[in-house]
Amino acid sequence: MEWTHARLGFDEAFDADGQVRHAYRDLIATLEKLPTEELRRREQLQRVSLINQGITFTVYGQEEGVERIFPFDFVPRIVTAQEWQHVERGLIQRVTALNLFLTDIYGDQKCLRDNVVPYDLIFRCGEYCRPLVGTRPRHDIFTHIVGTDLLRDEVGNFTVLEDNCRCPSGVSYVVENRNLLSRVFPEFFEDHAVRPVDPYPQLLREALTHAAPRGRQDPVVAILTPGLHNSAYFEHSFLAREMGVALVEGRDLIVEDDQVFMRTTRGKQRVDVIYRRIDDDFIDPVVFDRKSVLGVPGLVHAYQLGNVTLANAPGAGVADNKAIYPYVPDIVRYYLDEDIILPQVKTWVGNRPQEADYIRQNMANLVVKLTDGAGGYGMLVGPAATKQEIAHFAEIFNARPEHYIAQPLIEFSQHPTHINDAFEPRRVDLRPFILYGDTIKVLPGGLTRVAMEEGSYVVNSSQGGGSKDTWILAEQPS
Amino acid sequence: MRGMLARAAENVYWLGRYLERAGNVARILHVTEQLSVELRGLAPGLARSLWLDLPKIYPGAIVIIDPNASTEDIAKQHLRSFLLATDNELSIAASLRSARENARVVRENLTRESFEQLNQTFHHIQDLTNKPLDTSMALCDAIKKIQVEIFGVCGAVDRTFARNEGWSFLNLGTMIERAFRTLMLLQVKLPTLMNEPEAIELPIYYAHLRSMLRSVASWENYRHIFGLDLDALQVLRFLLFDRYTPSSIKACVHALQLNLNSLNDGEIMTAPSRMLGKLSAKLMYEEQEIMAEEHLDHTCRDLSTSLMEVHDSVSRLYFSV
Amino acid sequence: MLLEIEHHMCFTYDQFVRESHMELRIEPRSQTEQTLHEFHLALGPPTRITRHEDWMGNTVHWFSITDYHKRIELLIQSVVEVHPLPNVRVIDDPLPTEQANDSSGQKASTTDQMALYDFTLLTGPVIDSEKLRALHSELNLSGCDTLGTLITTLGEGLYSRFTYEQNVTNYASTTEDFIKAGAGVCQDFAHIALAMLRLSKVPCRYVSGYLHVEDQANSPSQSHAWIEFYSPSQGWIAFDPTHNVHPNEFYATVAYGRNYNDVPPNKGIYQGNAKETLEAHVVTRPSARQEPIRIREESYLDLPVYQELPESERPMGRNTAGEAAASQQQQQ
Repeated sequence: MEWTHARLGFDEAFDADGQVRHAYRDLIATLEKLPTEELRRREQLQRVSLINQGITFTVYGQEEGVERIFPFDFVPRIVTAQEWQHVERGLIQRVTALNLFLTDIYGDQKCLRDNVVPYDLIFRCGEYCRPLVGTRPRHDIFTHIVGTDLLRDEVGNFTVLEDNCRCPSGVSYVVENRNLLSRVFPEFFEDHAVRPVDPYPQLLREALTHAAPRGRQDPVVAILTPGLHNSAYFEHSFLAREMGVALVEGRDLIVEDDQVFMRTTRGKQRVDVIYRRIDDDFIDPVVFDRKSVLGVPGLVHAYQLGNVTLANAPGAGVADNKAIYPYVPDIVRYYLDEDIILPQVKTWVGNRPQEADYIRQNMANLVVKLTDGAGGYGMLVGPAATKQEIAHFAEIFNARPEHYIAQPLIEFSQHPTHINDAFEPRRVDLRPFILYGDTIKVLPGGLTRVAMEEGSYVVNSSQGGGSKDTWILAEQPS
Repeated sequence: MRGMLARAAENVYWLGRYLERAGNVARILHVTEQLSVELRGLAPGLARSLWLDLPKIYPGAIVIIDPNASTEDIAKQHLRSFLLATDNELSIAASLRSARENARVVRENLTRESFEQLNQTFHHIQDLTNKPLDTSMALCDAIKKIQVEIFGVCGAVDRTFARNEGWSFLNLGTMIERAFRTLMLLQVKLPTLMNEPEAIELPIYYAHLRSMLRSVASWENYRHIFGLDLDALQVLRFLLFDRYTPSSIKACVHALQLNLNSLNDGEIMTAPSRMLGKLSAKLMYEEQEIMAEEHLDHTCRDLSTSLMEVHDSVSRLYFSV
Repeated sequence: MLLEIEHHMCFTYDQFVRESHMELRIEPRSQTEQTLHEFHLALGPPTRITRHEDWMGNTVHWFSITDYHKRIELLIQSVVEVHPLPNVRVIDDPLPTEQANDSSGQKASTTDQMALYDFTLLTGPVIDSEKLRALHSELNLSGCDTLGTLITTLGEGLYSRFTYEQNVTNYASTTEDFIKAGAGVCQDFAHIALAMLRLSKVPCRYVSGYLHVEDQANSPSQSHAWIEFYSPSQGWIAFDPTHNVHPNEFYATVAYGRNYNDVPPNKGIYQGNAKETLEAHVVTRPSARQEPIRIREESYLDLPVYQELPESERPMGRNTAGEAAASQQQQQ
């Protein structure tokens, strides 16, 4: 069997001397024993299984929304107990601080007065929702579910790339990838103590129940989806089924007497907690986009009166805005009086004149991002851009530098991936999921996305990315 | 007691209807092909008209045919259209697509097995689109296979669906669809069969009645009761009033009543229960009067209108809260 | 000045609508410059009304009607005492400089700067553009030496360039539309004044309220809009660009916002294909009362709602058995 090692960046399975890392020894030994034909057969089995189970996502912009399977690579990614402990602590710290920050932003705004975060950044931030200033969600929890994107840098340190505090998706793949791998490659699990990921729906339901408005016994929980044609619909129905809650669309809900009800066969029934998978802009046409047909008129009003819990809380997107990201270490220090545990990517902020100058002079070596853009929109990848592209982007940047940040291109880690009967290194990221209920819990696992193209840095599913099962090893009894 | 999401109830109801319809179409295609082949030499006109009846039995079905084509080609066109055509809303492929869409929307109400079985069947019929299937035999073969798979789906649903409100809505959909299909078949086929046949046409007449019973999976059940005694009135009486054959109107109405009662916890008299009550009483006590009527096809039409009213009433009461 | 204000709004729909949800900003503010003595809101069809304050301290009334209806009526009665203002004010603040509101500079951020920041940005219908900047330089505002002269120059400049005319613009019109049309209503005048002042770095806000007109035979009283700008030495000062005057005790303030979008008197949504018509009118009069009483109350107007769509409004019955069968066998 052929194993190619990464020439750039950190290789997760092999050390600098080309030796197999300890955690990967048994796995690689097992793989070595499987003949090529057998691997092909199992790969085919996987594919059929994904299609039959309907584990698909919808690709936009194509006729009638084509359903695709998310490519799955069977070589699992392994994170040791020790590494994970560090990641877990770092994520809990981060989510704690971000919620204190949101409570402050929608409350007294002390951190702005104390100049920890420039107030103009917040006031210019599209996700900052003025009508919600003064509204406190139950237990001051804004982000019941966070998905934080991590990379491993050149020396293997887990580094935070960004937080997703709105509607992070992908957790259904975490659970389904494990199901699939244990069915297709049961022998992998013989020599490893892998921590289970299937308690997630239970944990999520507990977190949502905990968030219910005061005094609601046995609260009714529902998931609000934009509908069948949304790219993450599979996940919405997966979570509804696994949690045993209703999957509703906007038209199934109605606000009456400041309470939210769903239309059932036995009349209107009150809903206490809504795990909404619809962006702020669309949840309530009275407060946000008037043209939205996905939302529920009056939902935000009912939320403001404390009659319904929305998870995540509207307005929480401020915390994952790219303009705020550079300030997270300061936010952690300000609210917790601690140093940040997980490092961040070095970031230059266009809002600061000196740093804007630096960005201007080094554009060719930087990734420049629009702070209120997403999905690669309004972005320049300097090292990959032509001179003209850089010159053109510089003009746009100079018109309003305060709307941009810049980061170096990160040489993130690679992981053995089965490509054309061989094992080749491909770049991977990691999205762990963090639930905020009575305590903050990190699911021992996460979505490892992999750039299937050789040399590619793009792991997005919409651009040919795939995924892997992610193993967090249990502490070995010594 | 907590109710079911109205929209989900509606989706489950339609899942029941579309699954039943897909199975019904598969069966009728098969039976029609058999009879048509049998009659091709004996009564060429009839063999041809069997196919042309299909769009009447399934109002709304669009089959594009060449009027000058041979009966064999007409058969192929119908088989293909009712199996695969995307522009024929009544095709098995269209019904399975709709069934799957409904299942996807209420996936959280279905077990994994049920959904996977349905999804797999859907993908198989999608794959057929790319196959040549240029003979009637190949088409019938494919239909037979799909029919078995549809039974597989129904079996999985039947064995694993929680016996809750959703189950009642699923059954309501299945039973309304089934009764409706039986009545449509009777309406189209009855007028030609009610006249006493000439001796020479007897074999054709029998073949016709046989295949009609087969179309609604009731031939064996009929034989058990009436043995060799086969005539149109008897068949009609059987398909309307027999309590034990699953496609008879009386059996369907009975099943509908049971399911509606469990939705009402047997207490309140809702609008659809009232309608069904009337319908049931009519089938129970007016058998002789109905059978004595002159235009039995009109009677069937009136019965199907009553069923439509039940459908409307169920929709209003449960789905548009 | 004690003013009685009656505001009547009537929404009619040409078909039944299933749901309506509405947010109202119609209750005059109580603050240093004015006292709200009485407020009475009557609503039909009867439904629960909730009252709360928004992020700007404006009072919001909210209601939902969740049964079928064809008509919503509102009668709002207020008694407001607007305290007299000094006639002539000298506003000799120097004009703001570039860095005044810029947090990234050396100056530490203060609570004041934070509170003003929202009123320095061009947002919503106040749109930055070449035309807007051209108008700004045409008005020669940068030539002014004090805030007072700036306001005077602005007021005169706008008054001579734009005409008051109804039905040229609508509630959604932007400063772009107003510049193009050269005419519009108070809302447009307020927006263009906000745009000019914000380009000059003067914090300013949109004011929604009522204007009492003495000779109501000629021009009836109305909902009105004007602005307030911020003077570092004197605080917020009102200015009415439509009439090019500083408001007097005939102006009753209802709500403050960054622009109209923050404070429309009614903002709502209804479900259904119906076409909505709104008739609104305002009557104001000086109150004859000696001793105003302080009350706030709500009452209901008797307008009907229906749990189910009335039989007469349901879609027509089906025509033929065939059509019926075809239409009934597909999920709608």
